[in-house]
Amino acid sequence: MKINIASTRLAFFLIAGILFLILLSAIIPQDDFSSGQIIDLRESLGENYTIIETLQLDRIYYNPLFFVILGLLAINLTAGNIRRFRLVYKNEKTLFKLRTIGSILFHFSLLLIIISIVLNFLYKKETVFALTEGQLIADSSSDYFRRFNGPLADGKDTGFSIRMDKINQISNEDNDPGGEAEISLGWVGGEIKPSGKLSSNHPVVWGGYEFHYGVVTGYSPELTLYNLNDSLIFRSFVRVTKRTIDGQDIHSDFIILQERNLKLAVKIFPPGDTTESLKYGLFISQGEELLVSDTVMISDQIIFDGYKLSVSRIRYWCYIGAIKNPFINWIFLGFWSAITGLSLGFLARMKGEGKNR
Amino acid sequence: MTFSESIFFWMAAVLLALAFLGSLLSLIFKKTGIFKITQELVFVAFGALTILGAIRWTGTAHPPFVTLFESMLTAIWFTLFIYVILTRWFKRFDILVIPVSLFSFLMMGWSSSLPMEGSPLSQTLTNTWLFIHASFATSGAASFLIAASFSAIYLLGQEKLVSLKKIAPKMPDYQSLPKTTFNFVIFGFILWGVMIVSGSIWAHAAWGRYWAWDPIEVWSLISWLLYALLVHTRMAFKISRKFFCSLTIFAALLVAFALWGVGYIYETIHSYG
Repeated sequence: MKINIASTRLAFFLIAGILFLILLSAIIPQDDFSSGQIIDLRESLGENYTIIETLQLDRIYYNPLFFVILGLLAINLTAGNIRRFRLVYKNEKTLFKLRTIGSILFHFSLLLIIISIVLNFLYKKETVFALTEGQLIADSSSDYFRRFNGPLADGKDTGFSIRMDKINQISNEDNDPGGEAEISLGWVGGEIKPSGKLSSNHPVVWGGYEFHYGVVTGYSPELTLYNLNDSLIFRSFVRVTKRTIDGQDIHSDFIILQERNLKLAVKIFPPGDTTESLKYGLFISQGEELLVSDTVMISDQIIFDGYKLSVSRIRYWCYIGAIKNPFINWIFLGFWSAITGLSLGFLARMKGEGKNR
Repeated sequence: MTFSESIFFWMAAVLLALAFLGSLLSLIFKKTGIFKITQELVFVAFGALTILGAIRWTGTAHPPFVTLFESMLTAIWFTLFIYVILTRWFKRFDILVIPVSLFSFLMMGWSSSLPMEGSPLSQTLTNTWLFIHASFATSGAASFLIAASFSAIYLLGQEKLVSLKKIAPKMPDYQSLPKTTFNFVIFGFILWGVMIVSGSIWAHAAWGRYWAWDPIEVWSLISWLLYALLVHTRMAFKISRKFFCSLTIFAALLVAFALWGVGYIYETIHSYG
């Protein structure tokens, strides 16, 4: 069978292919977005899950087949449109008709979108930081909470330092941080200056990056552990997040001091309107054994086994996302011009120009 | 839902039910007079929904897009808006009253089973692009619904259409119905495309990313691609008009699922209200 790379039929099958893969992604949980469901599916399918893994059906948007189809569609769009508009010109001796201009604009915009999406995927940089008030991090991989770089983006660190100066107005509603973060930014080795306030819907643009206020926010109590001679053993902020267990909202987190085989857990209850009114449940375990637990206010100490533990300070923490999408303007240019092209074509139809389908 | 809101809601629902029943009766008894009354009933229902939307907008201080109930109401409003424009300006589309009143009534029935209370808009959602996004989503869905309505009339068959012509003599030619369907498919395709783009701009401002393959994003894209496929099916293969019209009805159902059904099955950040 001869395949015509420029044909509308091929375009049909390629669009159908993309549609099929996206449909699959709506049915099979995807690794990047639904890790909880992936675990459930792995358990229910057992060894059969390897089929999904081998075919990369749990990572469809990174699947080579997805990119191959996009590439073929780009070739089909180019070849098909050159052929089509040559024919139109041959028959009508002009391309300056509303319908033809609309069609050219739409199809070449699609081509621009596909190319820009692929380039942006290859070169994008996305990082997420979890930052407590007052925390300054230099740019190094160990400071990222999460990092997604495109396969062709240079592996170098992003080169900036970020300091969380202050977080205001924390809300306890799900998915509604309702807060505001003040950050300072600078290049590593350079001066760090206050760079603006971040809040939902209001990112800060700096050095080619966009800095976004994260959805998850919470309290960050500082746990301090002394021995009975008042020598400091450990001091660190923990980042307390809200988890819902058996229908109950629990604000808790823990840290493990491996060298002493101690697990220090802190629970905040109930999250009050002011940080001064907060109460903290402290739980100290050794291995599986709970050594001691008590409810304290800030600066109160729990004494156990030769140690003194307290919540010395309370701050807020939140996620900050830093994103660089180098080809995003090209993608949007493509989208808007595609819609303009479609609209021109639609106007031409309304005017009765062109074929009567 | 306030007392005044519920009055206008139920008024619109009853008027749409009466319009559908009236149009059926006019078909059975070939009474043009009843058919004309049904047109006016839909027009009054549109007015009632407009007042309901205005009361809700004033009460919640944001356009009625935020809850699932509000989103459905707005889609019905857009459907009736397109219908009113078509029937007032182009009399030959009167026959649309049958499917439009039926679909709108069924959607009102569905929406009546949902929580009807308004809710304040969270800070994350507050952005002009949300309103652009939601307007194009609901108007796009309305356009696909109108396309499906023309398809439904076409699928009745030419013989049945002859009897329809007795009550709506100026209705479009049977053979031209798929073309009108196609026009509304293209119109909806444009609106749905703007919905996807504006949604991605809004998502970027609200959540820091343009696109995250969230279930509603995925299903919206699936619907859009399905319509792209529909258009190419018509161009690349000599499919019958009946098959094309059947596909547009299926695609409209998929759009309804993408807009209002996904939240029932998937966990999504787009959950209403």
